Amino acid sequence: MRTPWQIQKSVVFALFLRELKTRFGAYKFGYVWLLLEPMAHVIVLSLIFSYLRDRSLFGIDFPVFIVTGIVPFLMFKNIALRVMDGVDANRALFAYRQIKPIDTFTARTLLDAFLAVAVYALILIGMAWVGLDVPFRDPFSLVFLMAILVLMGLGLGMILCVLTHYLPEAKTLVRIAFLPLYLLSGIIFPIAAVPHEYLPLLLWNPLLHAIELMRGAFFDSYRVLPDISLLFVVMATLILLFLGLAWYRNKRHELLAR
Amino acid sequence: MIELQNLTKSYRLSSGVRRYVFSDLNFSFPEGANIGLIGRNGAGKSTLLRLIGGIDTPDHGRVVTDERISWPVGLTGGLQGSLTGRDSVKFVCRIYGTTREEMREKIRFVQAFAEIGEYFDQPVKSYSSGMRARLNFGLSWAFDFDYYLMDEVGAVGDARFKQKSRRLMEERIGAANIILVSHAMPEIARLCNVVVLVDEGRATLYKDVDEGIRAYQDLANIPPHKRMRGGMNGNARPAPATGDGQAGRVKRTTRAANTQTGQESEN
Repeated sequence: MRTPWQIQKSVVFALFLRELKTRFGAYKFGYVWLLLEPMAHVIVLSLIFSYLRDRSLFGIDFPVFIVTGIVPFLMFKNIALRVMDGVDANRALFAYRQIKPIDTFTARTLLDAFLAVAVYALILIGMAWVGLDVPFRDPFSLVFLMAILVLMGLGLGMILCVLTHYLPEAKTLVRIAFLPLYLLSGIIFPIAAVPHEYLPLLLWNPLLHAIELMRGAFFDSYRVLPDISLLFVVMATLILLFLGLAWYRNKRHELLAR
Repeated sequence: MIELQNLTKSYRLSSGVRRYVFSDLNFSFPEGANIGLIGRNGAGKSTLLRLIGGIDTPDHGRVVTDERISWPVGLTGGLQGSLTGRDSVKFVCRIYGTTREEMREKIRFVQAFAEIGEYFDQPVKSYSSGMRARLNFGLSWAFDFDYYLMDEVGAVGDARFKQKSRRLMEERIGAANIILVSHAMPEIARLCNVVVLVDEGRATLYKDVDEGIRAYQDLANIPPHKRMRGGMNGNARPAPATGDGQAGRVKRTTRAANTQTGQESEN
């Protein structure tokens, strides 16, 4: 007899490998695209902004500035969207009684978190290699904030998964909504550059707080506004996780019914 | 021992109406028998199989068992389209926590049983339905269970494959049992020792397979000339309404009154 913990561990591990295989097995360019997506953002944005202004902010190299925003953002987005699709993509596998939707959520979250960390490390090493300034000031806080973002993505993803089970049309809308979120989360500009009257509105976005805090932990000279709050990020994450888990728990049987 | 205790299962239709497949069903399956689950379309046979298999959960009540029960082997489910046949076997081995040795052995077994050649290393979505069934079958036979749950699987594969899986099934049946959902009465008659007729939310056990099949055919209004003859004693005349009580209980006239209560049919 295996304990529930052993069963769940082996299920999550099996699903993790299954996700890894199907994500990259089908296309030879799978691994390349992983690096290419954030790099494309960095390169395009660097080119655009080099015409608009001095590429340095607070003495920070612009490409490094972009990377510290885009990689965590893409990780958050990937986790949320992958978890949203987690039930439909694995529907055939729920024929095995030990596999529950929450296992696919866990496996997908872990996979995208690992991939994002690997991509982050590779890009930063590459940037240091070509001579850009990569301070990486406070690794502990960075790891902590990344973990918070992982959980926030998972919480949002679970909410979206249940929501789109009842409202499949919303899937497209959710995907589109990530574009304005990208612009409103301070990926391509420091929040300090935003006119003051818009600040109170923008500060409702926990992702913005998280990105700003990460930049503060990454660069020596980055100025984090006093309005930015770690507590807000943590609270938002806990609320999203709680709502996601509670809604999932409540509707888990209906998720499996076709 | 597989026992249903106050089993209640409903689905919400798209119109918002709740339809009860079972309500407060109590039933125990006989020990050590190969069980045929029969009934009309939509009677809840497959739902019952999914409930026994633990992949669907009752609204309330429960399925009590101390047996190792397989996943429902059927034409759909169990195989993820983008995985290859080999990876599917590995996947199932991993969720069952097998050792590396066992995994290698099971891969060999499934590969030999399925006989799908190089398709074994191709994504399952490129398979024909016959190849899928071969893989699915092999996969379930590769693991040891007390009960194998099967949903309409008899109808697939060519004659040779059918014969092969029949041989393996008969070999296994000594140590294990099957619960088979099928509309093919000859198959039920050949493989099962008892039948359970599922109708209007109730399950009725027939220890005599032929009698159960007759009761089903009465229910489904199958005209006498279309009924199977082989394996049935005498001609295919409908069971008398005043029969031995068990068959009588499923007569249409008494059905409506019993839908809420369910019934315990094990003697």
